[in-house]
Parts: sequence; structure tokens; C-alpha cells
Amino acid sequence: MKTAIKYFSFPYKTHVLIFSVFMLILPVLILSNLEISAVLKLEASLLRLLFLIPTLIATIGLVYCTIGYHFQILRGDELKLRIHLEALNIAFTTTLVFFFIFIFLLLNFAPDLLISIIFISSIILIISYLIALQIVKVKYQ
Amino acid sequence: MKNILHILRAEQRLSQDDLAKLVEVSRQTINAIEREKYDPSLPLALKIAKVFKKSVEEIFFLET
Repeated sequence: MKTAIKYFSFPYKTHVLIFSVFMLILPVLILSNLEISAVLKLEASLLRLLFLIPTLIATIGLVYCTIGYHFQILRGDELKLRIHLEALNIAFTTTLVFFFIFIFLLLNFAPDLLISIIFISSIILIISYLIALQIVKVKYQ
Repeated sequence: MKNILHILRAEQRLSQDDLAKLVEVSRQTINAIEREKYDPSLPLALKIAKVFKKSVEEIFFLET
């Protein structure tokens, strides 16, 4: 199994990624095109399936892409791996710092928003990774 | 870490792209090594040394 994954090339990652993102927003697209009365008339189980099936497909697709890109970076050029790791290090530290700041702020001033801390942290992680990537790239140019 | 990679490459009339293909890395990696912005891993240093038929310490050395 380990060897099979080691040599599997994870083809069509970009296509899968685009399709997964489309699947994620598909329920919203469908619901936004329906009248509110029509949505209310839908059976609860049907409505649940409307969310469950596309999000399940999107999850499988995103997991496939994540593992695929992970192995692509590992097997690829060593400078690119170094840049990725340094950017990840900066992004992780930045996210942790903001995570602790947000815990303090939300806990004391808006406890009802604590549930959204994972969402906020994910956004900070993605943005800080993209910024760090550009900074680290300049360092090695 | 200092290196004489650009001199060796010029002697062998190899472009950065040619050397990158020989040692299976990107041209950017070779460029970063030559500009002393990036220290290669030991396997890559050994591959480069093999291409130029020299020892690693003849190509890469610490600043004195």
C-alpha cells in the first residue's frame, strides 16, 4: 500500500480541484435558483441529500488533491520543497500567533463567535502561506 | 557556503539548464546554488560532484 502510494502519480489534480470547488458551491447555486416557497416544500431528507452528495464528492476530491500535491512537492525539486517548507513554517507561526490573539479577544469580548475561530484560522493560514511563499521565493532568486 | 560551480560549468560549456537536467533539479535550483543563496542537499552535492568528476569539497567549501 505504502509503495503503491509512493509511485502513484495522482493525475488530473487541477481538474479534480476545480470540480471539487464547483461541487462545494453547487448546493448554494441550486438553492439560490429556487424560489423560497419551493425550498420550503422540499422534503428534509431530500434537502439533506442535496448538501450531502456534492459535499461528499468535494471532500473526496479535496483529499485526493491534498495528498497528490503533497507527494508532488516531496518528489519534485529540492529548492521548491525548501521554499514550501519555509513558507509553511512562517504561515504556521503566523496562524498560531493570530489564533492565541483571537482566542483572547473572542473569549473576553465575543464568546458567541468562538465557534468561527477554525474558519478564521484557516483563512489566516492560507493568506499567510501565499504571502510567505512570495517572500521566501525572493530570498532564493 | 562558497562554491566554484559557475567556473566548472563554464569549463565544461554546460548551461544551467543542461546541468539541471543532468542532476534532475530545476534550473532555478542551479542558479540559486551558483549565486550562493541556497546550499544543496548532500545527495545533490554528490550528484554535481559526479558530473564534474570532482570531490564535493573541491566544489563546495566554507568561507575562510
